[in-house]
Amino acid sequence: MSGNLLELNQLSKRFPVRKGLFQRVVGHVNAVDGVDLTIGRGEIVGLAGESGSGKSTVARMIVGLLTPTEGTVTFDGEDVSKQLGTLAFKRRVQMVFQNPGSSLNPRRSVADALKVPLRVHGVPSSTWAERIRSLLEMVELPATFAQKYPHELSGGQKQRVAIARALAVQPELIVLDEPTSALDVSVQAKVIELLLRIRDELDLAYLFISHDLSLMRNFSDRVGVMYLGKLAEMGTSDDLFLRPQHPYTQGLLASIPVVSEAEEALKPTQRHLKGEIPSPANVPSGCRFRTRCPHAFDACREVAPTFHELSATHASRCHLHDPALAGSAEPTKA
Amino acid sequence: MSLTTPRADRLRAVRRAWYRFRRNPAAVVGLAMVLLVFVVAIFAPLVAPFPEHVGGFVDFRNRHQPPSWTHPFGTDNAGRDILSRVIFGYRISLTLVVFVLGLAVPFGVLLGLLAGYYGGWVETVIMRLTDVFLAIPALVMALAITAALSPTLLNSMIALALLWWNWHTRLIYTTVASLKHEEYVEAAKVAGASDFHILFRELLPNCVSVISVKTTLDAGFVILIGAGLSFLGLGAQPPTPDLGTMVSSGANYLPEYWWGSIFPGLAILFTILGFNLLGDGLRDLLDVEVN
Ligand SMILES: Nc1ncnc2c1ncn2[C@@H]1O[C@H](COP(=O)(O)OP(=O)(O)OP(=O)(O)O)[C@@H](O)[C@H]1O
Ligand SMILES: [Mg+2]
Repeated sequence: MSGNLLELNQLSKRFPVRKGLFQRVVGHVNAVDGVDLTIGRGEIVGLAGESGSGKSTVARMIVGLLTPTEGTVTFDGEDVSKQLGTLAFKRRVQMVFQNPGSSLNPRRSVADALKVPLRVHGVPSSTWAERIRSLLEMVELPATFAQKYPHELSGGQKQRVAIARALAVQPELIVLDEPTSALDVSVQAKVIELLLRIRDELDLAYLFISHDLSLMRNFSDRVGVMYLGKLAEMGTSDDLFLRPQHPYTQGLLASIPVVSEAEEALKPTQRHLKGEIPSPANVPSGCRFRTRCPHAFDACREVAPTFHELSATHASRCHLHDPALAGSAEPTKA
Repeated sequence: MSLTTPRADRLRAVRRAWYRFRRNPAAVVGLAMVLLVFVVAIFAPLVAPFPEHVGGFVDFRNRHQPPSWTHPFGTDNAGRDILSRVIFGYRISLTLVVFVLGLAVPFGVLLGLLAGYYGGWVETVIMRLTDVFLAIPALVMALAITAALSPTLLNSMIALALLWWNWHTRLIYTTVASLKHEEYVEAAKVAGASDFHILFRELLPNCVSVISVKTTLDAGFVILIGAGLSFLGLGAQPPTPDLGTMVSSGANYLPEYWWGSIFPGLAILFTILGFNLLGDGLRDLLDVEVN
């Protein structure tokens, strides 16, 4: 058995599209389409991609808010696809949501929010006060915050409470679905710092979801890039940021604003992404990225590319890596 | 930390709300009217000038006396003090409100929570049921029910309660259907919280504002429809001092002895106006959408 904490195997989610008076099913959205992903103990894996690429759907399947249509979720060597909703599993995997404005109940105090997981998982109530104090300390909030209500907190403070809530049951994996994208840049940096410190102290694993690639670079050990429900490229942070191979990754990186000359030099010589991401209800034939790809050639229209292993850690789903097909196309790099 | 203890914070929030409420004169007047009705009804035996006139008391020498210092609202066809009977009539009106809304609101809210949260067939069954009840005009339905049972105060209260729950079901259903996708609900699910916890600890507290505004506005209408039923002889029976019954029996002597139905009628109007002004004020204060 491999030492992976979490393994996603061909994970897929199809949403029915309903229309009309009787809510007839008129089609399907392939929000997530055969995703393979592993997360090791204590590892931070990033998941990037534009809006609508299926990142949140992956997250929600991992924590059991959605049931996969196909594929399996293996946690600590055990297939938990059928028991994603069970308490024993829930204790070990937690989630922090994107929107600090709605992740705390406006009618319930911080202490109330932190008590929910404690009560559910049978932590004796005599220890709650102490536990809440230490959770708040962990996320660098004063103990007096326990009595506060969400409207008295800033966005960053709310997100710290949400992190404390996720930590309450001592999970092994936390899914962070864009935990900082609603925050100011300066607050963002502090929350990221906090997350890193907590990871080191508690030896947690994170699945860190964001459409902000610049944030991933220093934060994640490995990064997957999703496009329309499929992983386009997967590799270590260095693989992806120094040697991006998939035209989509290159396009995403090209659109990151840079602050220094040195960073500019590192950027791939790649045009910015053009056009909009197509609807997942109507995925292009062959390679789903071909409608926006500057290198697209005939084969891309007909054959869906498979993953090509570029190194032990690096894989990319593109026909350009297939010598038999790529002969007719221009090379990846100028 | 002297200024930011939780209790001081809470106190300050209450004071702020009261300050905002006070700036709405209509709401303050409404609150005063409702309080007056409650106080007068609760202390009726002490407040009413002739408490013994409430039941089957008869004094034919004094029948149809016009308003005077002794009888500010005049006397009725049996010589009873109308003011005293109006004051006791408020007891019946408020009993009606408390009974009807006390049954209909919790029941309606519960069904609304279930329909909004679970969706699917639970939603279909509950919401089609509310459609059926909505399709029948309230007064017609109440008439049918009280006529089928026997015309008593209790039966008219049961009829009104049967009619009222579906409004609250619809209101809470729409509120919950939008709240259930909030991230705090999903966070509670991920934490492993039970449906019971999510329904009553996470969702219900967020419905309290709409429920209280709607209930306050309803109170006036319940009194009105209750009075309508007894006006038609389907509610409390004489000699019980019911306001609707008083309007109806006084109407026999219009226009000569106008005070016999005008004052009980104005008394009904007073409560309805009070509850509506208060309800509107609460709605502005709590910033919620009802209907
Ligand atoms: N419950 C649902 N029913 C139908 N379609 C859904 C549902 N949830 C998500 N989708 C669709 O699935 C696709 C992927 O959505 P998802 O939220 O996973 O994207 P995302 O990568 O998280 O995007 P974002 O960056 O905007 O959060 C979208 O096209 C979305 O419209
Ligand atoms: Mg998302």
